[in-house]
Amino acid sequence: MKLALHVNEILVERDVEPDVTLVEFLRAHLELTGTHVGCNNGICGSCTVLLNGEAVRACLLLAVQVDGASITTVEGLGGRQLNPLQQAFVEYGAVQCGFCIPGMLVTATALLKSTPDATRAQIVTALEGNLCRCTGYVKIIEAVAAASAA
Amino acid sequence: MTAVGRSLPKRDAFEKVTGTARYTADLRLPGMLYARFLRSPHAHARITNIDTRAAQALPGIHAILTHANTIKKRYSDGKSDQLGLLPHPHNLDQVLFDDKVRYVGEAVAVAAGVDPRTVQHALELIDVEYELLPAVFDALQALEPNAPRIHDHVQHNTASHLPVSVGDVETAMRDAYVVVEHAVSTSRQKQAQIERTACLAHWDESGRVNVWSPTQTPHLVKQKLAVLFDLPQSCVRVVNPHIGGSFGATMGFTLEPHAVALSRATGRPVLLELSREEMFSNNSSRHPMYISLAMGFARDGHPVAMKVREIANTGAYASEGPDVVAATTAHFLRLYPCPNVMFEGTSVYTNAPPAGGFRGYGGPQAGFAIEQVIDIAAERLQLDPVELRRRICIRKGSVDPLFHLPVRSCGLPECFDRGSERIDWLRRSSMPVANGRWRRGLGMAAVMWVSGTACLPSTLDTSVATVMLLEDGSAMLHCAACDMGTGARTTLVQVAADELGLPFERVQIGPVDTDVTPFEVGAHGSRTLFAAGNAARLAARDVCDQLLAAAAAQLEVAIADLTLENSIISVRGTRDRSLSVAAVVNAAYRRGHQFIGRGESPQVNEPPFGAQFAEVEVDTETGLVRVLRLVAAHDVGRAINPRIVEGQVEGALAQGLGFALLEDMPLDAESGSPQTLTFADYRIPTVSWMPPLEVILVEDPSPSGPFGAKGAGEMGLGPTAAAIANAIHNATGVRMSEVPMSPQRVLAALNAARA
Repeated sequence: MKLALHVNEILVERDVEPDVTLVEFLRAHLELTGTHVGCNNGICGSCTVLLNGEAVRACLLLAVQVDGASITTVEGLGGRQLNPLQQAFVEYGAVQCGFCIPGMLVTATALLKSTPDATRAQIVTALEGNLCRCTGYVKIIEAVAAASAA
Repeated sequence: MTAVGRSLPKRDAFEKVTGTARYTADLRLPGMLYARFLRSPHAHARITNIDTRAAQALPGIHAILTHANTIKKRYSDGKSDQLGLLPHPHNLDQVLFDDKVRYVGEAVAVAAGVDPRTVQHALELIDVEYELLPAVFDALQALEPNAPRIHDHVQHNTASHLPVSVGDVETAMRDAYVVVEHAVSTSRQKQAQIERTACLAHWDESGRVNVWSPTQTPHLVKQKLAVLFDLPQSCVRVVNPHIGGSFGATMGFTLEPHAVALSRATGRPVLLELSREEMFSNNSSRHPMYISLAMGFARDGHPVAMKVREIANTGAYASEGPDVVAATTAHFLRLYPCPNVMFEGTSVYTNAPPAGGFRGYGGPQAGFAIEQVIDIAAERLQLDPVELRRRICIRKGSVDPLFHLPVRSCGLPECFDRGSERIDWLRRSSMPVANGRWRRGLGMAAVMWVSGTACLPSTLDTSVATVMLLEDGSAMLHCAACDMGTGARTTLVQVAADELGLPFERVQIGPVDTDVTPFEVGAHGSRTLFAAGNAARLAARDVCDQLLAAAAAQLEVAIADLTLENSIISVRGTRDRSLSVAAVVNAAYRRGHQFIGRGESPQVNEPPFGAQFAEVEVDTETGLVRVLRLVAAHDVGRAINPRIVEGQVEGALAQGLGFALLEDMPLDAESGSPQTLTFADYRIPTVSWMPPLEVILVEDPSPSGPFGAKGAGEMGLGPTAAAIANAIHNATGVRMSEVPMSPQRVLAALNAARA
């Protein structure tokens, strides 16, 4: 099937099989391997991307479902420079193995867009669906809080 | 400005927050094939027929490997045969594929093809006929005389048996003022790293084997592959891409043997990757253990006798099991020295998925037993639990009774002080506090760990590093110390930079690639910053000495008159007589010389210590335990990068909390099928579940670690479950004997006490 969508603000046109998931499309067809697949069951949150600004699990969507949409992956969050949220993750030591981090950053981006002054409680609620096995979440929360205006 | 002691950002964090860091499954090579396993639905069965013809005929399928077409050389996926902690005759109990399966999920075939869907289709076309055999899943049942035999060459399903006996336990126990007994059993906790394990292998046209994998032991994997495929070690290259967590799961072999065998069969690069379901049904776990512990105490609280019986379920293969059992002695026999000891540890084969190394390596199981026994003893002796531990714990200046290593630094008293103060331990005298159906209590536990595995003369604990000065005076460190997220590749540079007198920014660390790094045994046993850090520091020292000798000749002064700071070599006491490092290096370079330093980790070890304090609330109607606070005061020696160390401790606490309260992968009693194959069934701590963590770094510098550092990565897991169990007892009066301490189990204990 023919597919046309914006990925990280660039128009992409591809022919894909109807059973290709969005995360497969991003990783295998577009070589955007920053979006990770921790479980492929929609539970771990590593594959989170923005679909028209909303955080979604790319392993639970088919590529054909997002025809015409605008997708943002971790590669599209900053430019050549780190954005303030990415900078906070680096400074606060929020990154250990880093495998969950793209999903964390994308989820936090969606939160801070809708709630720029997110409180600690709101941050915790927003990140509940993103699993991390390395950090105990302490420094991830600190980093998002630092990037929040609250 | 010096780098050591500063919370510098992790070097690899920039790649990781931009999505440009490449993990193994992100790699692509031209002509690369994709591979997947076919796995057994039966726990114990002989394969009577395996028909791969239809699968083989599928367009796009390049190879299907089974027991019928692969080599039969025996190996162990663990590293014990290489480390030599103790000899275990049954270690080499695995082959690529056997004609028998020993657990649900064991691989019976692997297929490689042009894309993952074709491979999946091929696996569905493979026809396997099994002759079912009786199976046993529990370690105690597997030891019974009529239990099914899991390996033909092993009697009584005993993978290893380790007795340790010192003094006269029976007499000392009889004469003890107080004898405390407690028996515990522990769970099958999964490492549950978020990266699904993958391996890319390419047996190339020149006959070299190239492997990219998230292994924690690249040089050991190189050695193991060389032996398995009968190659010189120089023909095998193992590389770490970024590693998405491992926690022990990627020590020794994971997918490397099968990926290499497929590449050899197809002549193509092959990427083999596990699904999350396979990560649960395979890929190692903590060893479920039964531990019975009896300790006798003198009237003043000093232990006089200790008797430990420990049975570990190693699953279908020995792997790390024998060494995990051996390692638990380090947790029973050192922190509270005891003159009369009888330890008996057995690792037992069952038809469970193989257990392996998991951060803590026996420590959490042992800690759950002994730290509760100390708590019970304190109650019986009418002593405060902190006071009893202060009285009987090992001290600075003494020698540990197991390995006979000197304890040259010990911040444990300060851990007790600062942890007690932070949680306000004195409140315990007015505990438990009742609030409706909730009861609140305080508990604590202590821990003594290791910095690496240099503990017995026979043990391999080697790290070698080189430092090369480049023509502009910057420096390159080469060392195969893996960074599974630990920050080692940042902290090692901090150590090297300060020893070199160069700014942090001018020192880089090369890739973990066995082709270009000297030998390094691996990232386990809380050893990397300690042992590889010592090697890096000595390599830096060596290259500095060479550099200063050249500068002394150039300036016509004695070496002792020179100082090196911030890339400038100066003659002491002068203002104008100085040279830049770059100038000295460049002068040598033009004469055909490059400064290369080397360092080897000395065979030293230094125990880190910790004390953890938990405040919990127990719902007496449902058995739910809420941890309100968890304070961890850890003596990690000098914190080379405090924020990284805090992160290590916080991560270990999260896994310790999961071990204590949430995590287990039970097997179906009839079929042996794992009952948790997704993160929906197997709960790891989530962000909202986590209690507040308060980490206190106590820094009693170690005389033998780099800049005073000690091991820090694993210790946080050791005492957490016991601290919580002791707090539950303080709150409710019930004593827990199983982890996870689920609401059902706590409620059952409460009901038993009420009955």
